[in-house]
Amino acid sequence: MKTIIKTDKLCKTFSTGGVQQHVIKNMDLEIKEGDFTILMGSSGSGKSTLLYALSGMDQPSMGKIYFGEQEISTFRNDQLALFRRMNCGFVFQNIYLLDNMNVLDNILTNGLLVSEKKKEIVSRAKQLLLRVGLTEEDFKKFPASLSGGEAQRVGIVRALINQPKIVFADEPTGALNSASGKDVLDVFTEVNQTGQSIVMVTHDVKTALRGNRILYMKDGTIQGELHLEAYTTNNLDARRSKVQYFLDEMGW
Amino acid sequence: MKRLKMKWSEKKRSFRIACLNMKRRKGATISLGIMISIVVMFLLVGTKIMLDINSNFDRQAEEIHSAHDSIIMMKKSYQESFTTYLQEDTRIEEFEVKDVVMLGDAHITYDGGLLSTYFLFENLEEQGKMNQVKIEEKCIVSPEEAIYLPMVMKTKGFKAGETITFENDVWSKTYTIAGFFRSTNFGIENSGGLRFYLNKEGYKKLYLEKGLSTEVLIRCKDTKDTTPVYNEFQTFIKEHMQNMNEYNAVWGCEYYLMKTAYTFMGLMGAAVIMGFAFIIAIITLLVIRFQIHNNIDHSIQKIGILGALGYQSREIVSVFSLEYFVTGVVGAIIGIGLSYIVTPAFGSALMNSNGLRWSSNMAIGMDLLISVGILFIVGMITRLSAGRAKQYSPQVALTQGMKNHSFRKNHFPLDKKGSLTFHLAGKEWFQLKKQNIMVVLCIAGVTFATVFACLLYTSFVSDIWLLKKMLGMELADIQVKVENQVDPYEVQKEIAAMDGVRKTNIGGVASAYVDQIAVTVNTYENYDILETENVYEGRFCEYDNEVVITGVMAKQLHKSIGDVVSVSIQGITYEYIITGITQAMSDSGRVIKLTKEGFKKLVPGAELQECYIYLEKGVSRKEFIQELKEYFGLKKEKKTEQYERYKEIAEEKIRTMMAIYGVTELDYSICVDGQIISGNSRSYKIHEVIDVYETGQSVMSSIQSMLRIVTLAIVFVTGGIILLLLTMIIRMLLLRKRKQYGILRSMGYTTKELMIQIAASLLPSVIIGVITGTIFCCFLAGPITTKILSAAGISNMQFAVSPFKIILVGVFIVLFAFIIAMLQARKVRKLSAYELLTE
Repeated sequence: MKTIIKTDKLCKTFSTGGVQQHVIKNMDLEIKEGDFTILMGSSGSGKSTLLYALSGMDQPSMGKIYFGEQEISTFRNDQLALFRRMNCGFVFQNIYLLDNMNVLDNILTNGLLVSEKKKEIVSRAKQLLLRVGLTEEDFKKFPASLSGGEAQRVGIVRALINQPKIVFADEPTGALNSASGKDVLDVFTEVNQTGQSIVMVTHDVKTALRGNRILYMKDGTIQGELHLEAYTTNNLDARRSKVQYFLDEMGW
Repeated sequence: MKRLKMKWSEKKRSFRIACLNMKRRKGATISLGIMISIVVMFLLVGTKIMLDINSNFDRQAEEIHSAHDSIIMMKKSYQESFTTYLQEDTRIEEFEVKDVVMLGDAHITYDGGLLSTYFLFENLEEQGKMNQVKIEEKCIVSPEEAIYLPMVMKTKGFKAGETITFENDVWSKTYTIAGFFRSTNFGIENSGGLRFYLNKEGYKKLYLEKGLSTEVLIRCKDTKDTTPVYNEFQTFIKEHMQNMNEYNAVWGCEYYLMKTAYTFMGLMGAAVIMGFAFIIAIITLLVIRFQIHNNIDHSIQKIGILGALGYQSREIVSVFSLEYFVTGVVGAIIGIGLSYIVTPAFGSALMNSNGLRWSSNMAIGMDLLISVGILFIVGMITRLSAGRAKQYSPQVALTQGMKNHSFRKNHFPLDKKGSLTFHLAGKEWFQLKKQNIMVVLCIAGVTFATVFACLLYTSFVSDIWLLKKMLGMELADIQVKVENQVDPYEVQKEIAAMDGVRKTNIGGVASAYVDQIAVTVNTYENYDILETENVYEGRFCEYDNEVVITGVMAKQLHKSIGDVVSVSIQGITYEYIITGITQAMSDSGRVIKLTKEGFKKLVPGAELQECYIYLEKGVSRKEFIQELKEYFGLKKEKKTEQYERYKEIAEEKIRTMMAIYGVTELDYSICVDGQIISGNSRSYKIHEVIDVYETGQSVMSSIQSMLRIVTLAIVFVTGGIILLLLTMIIRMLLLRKRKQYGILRSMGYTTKELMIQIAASLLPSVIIGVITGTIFCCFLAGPITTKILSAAGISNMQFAVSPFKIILVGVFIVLFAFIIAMLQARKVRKLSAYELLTE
């Protein structure tokens, strides 16, 4: 499988009041096309930091990040912005819909950034929204009127509208109840099955089951890796045991 | 006691939180503090100037024991009965009757133009008790050539050691400046005359050439009596004049008119500054209100937490209001301090332009009064605005004010036609409606001030047509004074036939009384062709029983069109119907207009002796004047004394021939000691040619200088206010919408796209504000300026608004605001999507 993202001795350090915190340490990593990669680890292990670095939302302190043939680690803010709009989708834990516009406009804010073919983008947005289980009535609602699960599904559509090469998700079910969370994960599973590459940060085992590759992080490095078959509802117990065993070995 | 202790600890808590908030919002606090200090400073400067400028004049008048009233007349006109009159008037403290030399038909080069006014010359070595003179910046000059100038002339570029020439078409005299003196009596060009001092040698030489006049100086026991004393004495004098020449030769000035001449510019400048300060004050209060509401909305969860912890609503309100009150106090202190620097500088500049010294009292009381007033208003506004925090219960506040029902509209839907940036900017505009209304009002205010300043500048400085119309006299290109015994219509015919003359008119000026008020009468042969004289109500007089008066006089006499007034000249009185209302800056608006026939009723046998010449476009005024002087033989030729003496004898004989034998025109040549002296009778037809434009320039120059400074100051401060306002708003936007910009950045919006979105979201408010401010200014500028200039005789100010120039000003403000907004929005470039989302 083709490699989408590759890192070479990636480092990220934060400095607070003169005290340096090395969050990611000399990480070499490859993300393959079509994979549903899960980043797991305890709090403070550097999962979200790695996610933001890989997605071009933040710049590494040292090392290189390659997206295809492009080295994005030297990009400035605006170059990263252009890179993100063409290649990435992002789903946030706190959802982060724009509250001054309705659901459809939230999607179009992202969609119209890449394409000026308004009719085409509007049609795709509506199809995606229907696909994730929203109704036409929901298109006109404002984010404050949506439930958490609905809002996150809108967030997923926003991330997918431009057919990105990869979707990054930072604990997308973190703020949701289990029922809503399941709905959201089903959407992720479905889009991954159509070939969409996903990198997701989570500390929830149920979420981790959805991935076909789990990377366990500890102290800024990848301590272990687990490969799984594509997710199905069959053999769920076996899958769960396998993952649990792996996590126990990692010290979870 | 326990309650007091609890209240005090409440206050301390609130104060601590307020200080923390101020520290956190350093930028916005500093911007607001600057605005408050500007308001306080301008209000104090304007108030101090307005209060002190008059007392400055009074103080300095007392220092030099200045005369309160001055009346000048021909020496032969003075009678003993005048002395008796003055002795018997109990209101008069002291008076002096002295000889002076008066030039009424000469001019000097002055401030880029020509100044033609009454010039009084006194003997420095024979000063009386009044108008004591102290010479400054002395320069060694021969006693015969030395002249001492009023200090105001130093500000116009005259320097000690340089020369000054008094001249008319047939005579000139040059002196060397030996020093300057400060005077409150005819020491400024718009007081009706200028007083000079000569050493006794120079004085003697001058009075032998030009003869003497008599000046009566009066000091009253109470300055309140100066005006009635002056008016009554002048009436008494004029009743005793033997003929029109003597009658018209009586002139002078009383204390309050003199003071107005000195202080008018300063008061006008101070009024404009204070008006500007009020606009900035309103803007500042709007900004305070906006900031408080914005902070409350932004801190709504914190309000909930405070409430949940047990803070009472009044404590929460006082946190917000204290923050701004403290900023106001600091701003006021800085403003007071700045006013102590600016006021003397401004006051000195003003007084220097009048030739006087500026001294200001430490008016701590005034400073505190104004500052307390401003702080009271700031406190009220903050208290009322902060009351918004009370409406949120802890539960509502903690849920960030979420309401059960929302009827929000999705403005500028993205699926409709139009660019993405335009739609997003539009959405942003609607989202921050209240802020944008504040921006509209603030921009409207500064636009009002800027457009007003530009109107003043255009109308009074760059294109002086409006100023000309307000002077109250017909400003043709050239004015010719015809000799008394000559038929002015003949002269008019000759001039009208010359190349380059577009049209001519005949007119005259005289003194009169209207219902006991001393006025100047302007009379014209043909009112239809006048170009600068105008009426703003009614029409010009057409018949011999009609009169036009000024708005100032109409107000004073409580008369209007259709009413009747009595006009008197030398004891002859007639009634005239008012047909029109005009305005005039000359003589503080005490001017009337009569027809030739109407004037002749009062002065039988009189002729109008002034010819107004209007030149074709492109004809050089200076060249035409030269041609005119050559034609009428007014060229000054410097010859020997003997030549001049024989020429004078010859011309006296010619004059006699023309007067007695009815000779209308002749040329002559005589030979004296081998020298040919020649001339013609045309040189007896006119005695002066005045370049009206050059003369007008010097009158208008002081107004123009003041307006130039005021306009620049207003434009500069306006730019600063727009900068502060937009900086504050965009800083708040970036803070408040950090997450939103982070989301957009994460989607891939570049810095430029975000900058344009931020700036474009403010643009509609700026444009609406500019349009609103401009419209209001176009309607209100006239009435406001009328009010400011009412002391100068203006009663109906109407600006000739050039739509193009006004639109240009508006476009400039919009562009400037957009550039500032883009520059401030650039701050977003420093922040990565990660920082925007996670901070």
